[in-house]
Amino acid sequence: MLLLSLVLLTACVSTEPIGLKDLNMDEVTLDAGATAAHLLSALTFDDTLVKMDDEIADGLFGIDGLYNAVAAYGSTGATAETVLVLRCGSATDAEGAAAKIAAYRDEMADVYADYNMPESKKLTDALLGCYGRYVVFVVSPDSEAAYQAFESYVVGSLKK
Amino acid sequence: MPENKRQSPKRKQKKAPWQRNDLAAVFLALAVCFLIVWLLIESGSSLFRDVNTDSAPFTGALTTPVRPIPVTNTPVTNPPETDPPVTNPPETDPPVTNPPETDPPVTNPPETDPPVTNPPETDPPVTNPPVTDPPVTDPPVTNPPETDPPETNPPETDPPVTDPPETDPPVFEPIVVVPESVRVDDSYFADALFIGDSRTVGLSLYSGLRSNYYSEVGLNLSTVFTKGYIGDAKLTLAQALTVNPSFTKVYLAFGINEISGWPSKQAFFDRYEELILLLREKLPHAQIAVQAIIPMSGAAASSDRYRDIGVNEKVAEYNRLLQAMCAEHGIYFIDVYEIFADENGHLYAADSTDGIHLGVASSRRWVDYLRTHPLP
Repeated sequence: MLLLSLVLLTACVSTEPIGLKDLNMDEVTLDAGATAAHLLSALTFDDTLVKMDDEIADGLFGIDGLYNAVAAYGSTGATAETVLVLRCGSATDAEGAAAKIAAYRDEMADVYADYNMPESKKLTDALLGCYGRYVVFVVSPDSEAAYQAFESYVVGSLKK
Repeated sequence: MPENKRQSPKRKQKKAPWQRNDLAAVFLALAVCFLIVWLLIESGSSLFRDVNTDSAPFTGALTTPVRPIPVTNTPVTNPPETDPPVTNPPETDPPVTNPPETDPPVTNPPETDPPVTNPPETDPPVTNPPVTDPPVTDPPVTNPPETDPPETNPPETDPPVTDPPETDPPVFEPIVVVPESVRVDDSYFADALFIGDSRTVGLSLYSGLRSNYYSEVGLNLSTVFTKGYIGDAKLTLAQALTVNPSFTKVYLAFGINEISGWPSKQAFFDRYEELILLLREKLPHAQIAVQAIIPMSGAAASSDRYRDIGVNEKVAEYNRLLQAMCAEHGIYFIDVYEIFADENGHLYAADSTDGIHLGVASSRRWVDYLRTHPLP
């Protein structure tokens, strides 16, 4: 009996950490600014990124009207590195914004292919995800690290 | 002793001097006559001459001339203003025949009109010698441009007002290098257009200046003509300017990509001139300004990629040539180089993280320079 109980208890306890795929993002509330700031501090970039005005970001990414809150950081021109977090009104708006950002990514990848090939690769490997009503776009030297940083931030926010 | 006899007088009666020696007397008389005649001729010569052709109207009276006729007075008397004829002529003149020959006055006054004393407005034909009646028909206008006040000349023939520009070298020297002036606010740039490479992209993103930017990372003086990069429609520059020709000021910033990547200096300037001509065609009323090329930092310029190119030396040279190009095309040159180049011609290290692209503070300093250097 005791052995059976131990087996059952073990079965209920998952050994895998909770990931983004396990979360209902509609139940997640994130602050765009805080999320972006976390990503900036958690990741290593080749350039020093600076905050963009919302209006500038609208023009640059073509996302005007698709979000409720935005936090954008970019390079002054030396690199293509970017951190962009959007909180949209709905998942549908988030998908629309993500499509716009994907178009920008592909265009800049072509530009940098002639100008600066390493930056072009950063763009093609960039983290671009739509998570419920949130969109995250990170161009960095390590896209995997960017994903993990975002995931850990989201999971950690749930525990609070 | 003999008787006194009346003797005929032996002493001859004295004769008057003029009786004594007839020959001498004759000669003397002749000499006197000659002298008298000569004196008369000399003194009277001028009586038969015209005073001058451009002085007061000849009245016909035998009056002492105001001045001798310069033409016939070969000697020193020629500067008529200074030579009173009274003193001169006798020495030099065999003028017996002169007066008639040099005496146009009979005909002169009428046509040529002696306006010196006759400001045309006050030129009373009445005073013109009756001998020369025609003066009544005398159009002073035709005569003496040099003596007539311009009012008397039909403006069409005498544009003294326009003379100065023709004769004077231009006193206005067009401004090429835009000087520091009164600071403008950002509304000044509302109808401005910035065209350039990644440095201008940085300006658009981080300077805080709200304006119009047709810039892209990697854009150069070749792709600016061929690449569709503007707006959602990805128009070329020429297409975009056709769609929207409303800009009144254009700021250009090219060079760092070309210097580091193009072998031909001539190609750079040829393309820049083509760009200027395109802008002139599309925006005929816009002011055009070429911004100086901003150098790289010393570290970047001496990196493996750029060391052999001598980038900053070329930047300095190209900027001088750009200024000359602007002068030639009558456009402006904005010398932003002066705020970004150190004493060695390098970009200040603090102005950039990679030595090429300006940081936020530097972009804002760039724009601030433009605010204090508005186009004249």
